[in-house]
Amino acid sequence: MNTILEVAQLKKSFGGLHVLRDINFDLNENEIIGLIGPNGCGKSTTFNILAGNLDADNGSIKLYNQELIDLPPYQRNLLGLSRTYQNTRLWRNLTVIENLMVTPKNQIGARSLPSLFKRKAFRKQEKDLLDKAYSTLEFLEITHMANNLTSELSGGQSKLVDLARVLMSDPKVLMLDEPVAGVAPPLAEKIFQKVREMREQLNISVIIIEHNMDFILRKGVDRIFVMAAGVVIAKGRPDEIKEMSSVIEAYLGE
Amino acid sequence: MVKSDILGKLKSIFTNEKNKQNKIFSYRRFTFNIFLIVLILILVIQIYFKINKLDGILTIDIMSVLLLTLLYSAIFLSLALGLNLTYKILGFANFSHAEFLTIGGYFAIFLQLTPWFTKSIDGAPEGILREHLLIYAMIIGFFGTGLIAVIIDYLVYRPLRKRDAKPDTMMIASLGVALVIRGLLYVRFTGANSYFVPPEGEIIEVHELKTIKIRIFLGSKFFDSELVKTGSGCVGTILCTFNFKDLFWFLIKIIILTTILLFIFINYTKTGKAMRAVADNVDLAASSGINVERIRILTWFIGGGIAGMAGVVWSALFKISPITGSIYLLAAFAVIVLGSIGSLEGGVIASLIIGFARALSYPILAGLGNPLNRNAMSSYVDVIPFAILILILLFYSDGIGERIKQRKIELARIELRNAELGIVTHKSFIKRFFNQFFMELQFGIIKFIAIITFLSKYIINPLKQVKTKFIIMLSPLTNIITLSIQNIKNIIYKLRKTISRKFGKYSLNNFQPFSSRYPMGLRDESFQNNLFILFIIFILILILNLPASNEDNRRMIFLLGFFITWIIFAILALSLNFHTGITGLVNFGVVFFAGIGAITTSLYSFHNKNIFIGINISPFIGIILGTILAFVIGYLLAYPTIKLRSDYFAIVTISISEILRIMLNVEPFLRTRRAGDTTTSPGISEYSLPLNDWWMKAYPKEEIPYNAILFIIAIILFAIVFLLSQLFLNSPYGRILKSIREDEEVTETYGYNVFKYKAIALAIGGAMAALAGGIWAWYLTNVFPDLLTAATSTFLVWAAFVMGGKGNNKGMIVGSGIIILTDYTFRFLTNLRTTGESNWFIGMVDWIFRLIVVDIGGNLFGKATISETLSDDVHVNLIYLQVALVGLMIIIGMIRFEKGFIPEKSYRPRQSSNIVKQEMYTKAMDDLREREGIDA
Repeated sequence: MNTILEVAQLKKSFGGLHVLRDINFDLNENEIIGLIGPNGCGKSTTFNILAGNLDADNGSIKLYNQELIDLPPYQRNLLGLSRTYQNTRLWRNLTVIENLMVTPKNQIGARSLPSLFKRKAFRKQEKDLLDKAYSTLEFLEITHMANNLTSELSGGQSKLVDLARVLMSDPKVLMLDEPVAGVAPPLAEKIFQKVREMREQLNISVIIIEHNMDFILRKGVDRIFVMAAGVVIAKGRPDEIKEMSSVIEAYLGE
Repeated sequence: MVKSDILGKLKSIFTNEKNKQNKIFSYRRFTFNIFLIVLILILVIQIYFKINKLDGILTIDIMSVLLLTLLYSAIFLSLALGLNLTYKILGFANFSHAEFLTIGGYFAIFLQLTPWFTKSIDGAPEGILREHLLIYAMIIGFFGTGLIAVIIDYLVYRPLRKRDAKPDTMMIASLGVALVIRGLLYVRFTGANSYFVPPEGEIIEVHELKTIKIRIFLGSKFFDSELVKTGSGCVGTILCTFNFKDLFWFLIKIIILTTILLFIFINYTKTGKAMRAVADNVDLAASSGINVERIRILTWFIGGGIAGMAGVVWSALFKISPITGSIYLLAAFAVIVLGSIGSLEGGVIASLIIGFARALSYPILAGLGNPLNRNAMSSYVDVIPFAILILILLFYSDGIGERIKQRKIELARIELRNAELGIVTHKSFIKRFFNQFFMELQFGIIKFIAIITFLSKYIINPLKQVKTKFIIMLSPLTNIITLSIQNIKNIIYKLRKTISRKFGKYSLNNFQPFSSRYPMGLRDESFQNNLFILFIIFILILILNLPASNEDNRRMIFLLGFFITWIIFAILALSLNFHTGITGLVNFGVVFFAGIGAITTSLYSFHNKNIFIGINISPFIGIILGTILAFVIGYLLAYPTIKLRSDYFAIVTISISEILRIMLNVEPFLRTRRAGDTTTSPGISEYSLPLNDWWMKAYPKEEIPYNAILFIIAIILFAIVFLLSQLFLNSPYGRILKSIREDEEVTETYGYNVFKYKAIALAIGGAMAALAGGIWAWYLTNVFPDLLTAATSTFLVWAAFVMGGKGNNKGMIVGSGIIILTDYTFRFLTNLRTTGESNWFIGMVDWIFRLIVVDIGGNLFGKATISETLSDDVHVNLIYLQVALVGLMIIIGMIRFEKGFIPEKSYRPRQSSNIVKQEMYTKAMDDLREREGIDA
């Protein structure tokens, strides 16, 4: 198993508020890891730093041995890093299909000059991307909403579209921030199943922030990192984590 | 340490990196930086003067500067208070706020001309302002303007809120409101200045103000200065006149008192707390039992009232004209952005900073003007608030008040940590002492207010009982009124139901050919196309039937002029659509880029070489140069503005277009010297027009007017711009721009360099507008500063953009057509009036006006209100009626057609290469139709 993502000694503080003190974890190829911990321990901040929305005070992030600190967010994505948000952020006045067509990388016609002069090329590419988009929607079973504006979708459908959109971007490392928050159990089950299918069929590695212990401890992840108060207090396989007293203490208090 | 700090800051401005240093804001460092910048400026001026062997004297009158600082700060603060309130609590930038000041001023003038008001108070003759009259006028001005603000909210902003309108929509609607108010004020009071004169026979006291003048010598003597103590201190003519001294300090005291009262109200009363709650989170406030609508009404009342009250005092001091308030509007925005929106403390500091800068810059600019050969240099004084704003936004992209707030939070956090760790520094000890003191003070104030509230119960409770008794007494009457209103509403409802039942089958929605062929209604592409063609035909029919002249040639000139103007505005609207409709950059400075195009085109095609920079090359090269220049400037504009939020960005765009307008007035290379003259006048003229020589040779007597060939050139350019816009929009590039509009942070995390995209979008849109500017320069044959006035140019383009359909290029053609048609119609009507002919429309409008103003108003308020403000021949100024009408169109456009006539086309791709996928697509469309039914 080779390590594709290494996060070492991440520090972040907002003035006197030290959110991250010393975060270390790693991700292997084709693995699903879970990042869990009580509220306020810094999970979303870690994601923001990984994605580039925030700057870390200290530490290093290596993706395929390339240092990510100092790279702007768009370059991190071009290396294969994609994320979703806890509160789904879709592009609201665009249709579902349009949302999916923005994210694929290296599109012809994505810059101003090619959009004028390479029209034949991108028309062909458009057809291929449309196929892929419909297949993705089919994979997530929401084809009937393809032509709606995303502002017209329900919460659960938005989450599925978000997942579809992130899949279209050919990610190598996928960061899911609470992918089933506020979603009814049957749909949550379906989403988790799709995540597992993604790992098998598409060879993606996944980091999940989740509070749903059922998935984390029983069915889904290969390894878990437990965070509390800005440090990783435990790591290991689910069966190991379940027993650790430090984890139980962190979640339930003394 | 200081140097690296500044270098680091400079670097972070001009790259798109986030500012890596999250240092705490320090007052010391801030004032030091300002000091440093001023010092550098002085040094640069001195060196420049030395090198060019120029000579100059700056005379700074300390007392004058101090008093003017107070004056400007007071005015800015009075506007900033209300503006902050509405911005924070209602959530949008109100561009009509300054009109409240003007309204207040006219309240004062109007009341003073009303005999029963002046007589009932003290019996002084009309038109004379006495101190106690001023107090009453202020009270009436406060309540009256507050009431007007509430009514406007009910008519305009509440319907928008009910439709969940975005803040940008409300901001644009407020633009419309400002135009309506200003237009109506012009119509009623004309553009003349109104002011108060001292009563006959009263001696004007000249006040001796002791002052110190500093004379700074530039150039010849390096940094020499001289202090001159003078006794005479007529600080400008106004400060010497009747009663001014008392009135002046009265204004200052009123503003200070208002600020303190407002501060106490917001921070220490229950209602104030409710207002802060609504400002923070509306839904949470509503579910906590706060009546949110009532808070909003109160906000409008207070905000408008304060501005109105300030307007009353202003009219006592200075003159009032319909544009008085609007002159200070943009500066007021600069103030609240500088102080951070919503922060009262920040607003106070910012008012003082900008007031001081404005007061100080006048003598400095006046002194610099002569040696630098710019007669009108002091016009730049209006630019100072904008320049300061832009400078500060460069370093503090959220404004100063935000930084101060963060500083307090950070210091509190550090305090907490120090307390946890047991660290006590002498600073923290002193701080704790003072904190204790202030907490006690706060508690003291709260106790004080509690006691007053308790005691006032003895007054308020009996009053409440009286009020209840009164209400009970009146209840039969109120019942009748409520019942009759309900009855009327019922009747109207039943009427509408009957009409829709009887005639409903003819409504557009149920019209069968439409509904079956265009099941998606307005969102269907082919329906939009047909609608577009219909609109164009409609506009063409209207314009071709507008009675111009019957002479063929003049009619052709008229029509050609119309079409050329339509093309110019269509291109401007396309540019605005590219910036705002597609990419989401709210650009209120369309006219800036157009101005660059106009100026460059005209400057580079002079045929007489009497000007500093004009070169005689082909006008075609000129326009190409102008387009390229606008492209580059648009791109560069992205650098300092990337971190700004959309409304701050909008204000910066207004600022730069104002700066360009004033530059056109002042800079010598932008003025024309006519042959034989020794002076220059603003504006560029006498430049060559494209293909003019060739045309004049072919048609020396202008059998076919020159504008015909200009029309052909224009329409070719328009076709190019339209084609480009469509190609950009319907491509992956356009999709990415739209995603940036919706949520740019997400777009960035999907692999797109958002900064680059925005910069290129600014550049492309700017180039388009510059092209329009070039055509404009050719059409008008003169480039005058007034061309760049936002009120006439940018707002017209915005009206076209809004009505036509944000995001839709064809909509831009329709919207600009409508706006230009209205413009031409009114201009034609005004022409009729000057030639003495009449017209049923003019007659009707005049009649209505006379009825309201003279017959009703004159009788209610006295003859003097008519004779002093209007000419003897009471008629309606149609030009300004048009301004009001444009404003009304913007408002109605925002309320009724938020999406515009031709809404944005959604991406619903028809084809797919695979039969299976095609079936999926068809099924998706069927599902959509089934679910949506026949919809609009």
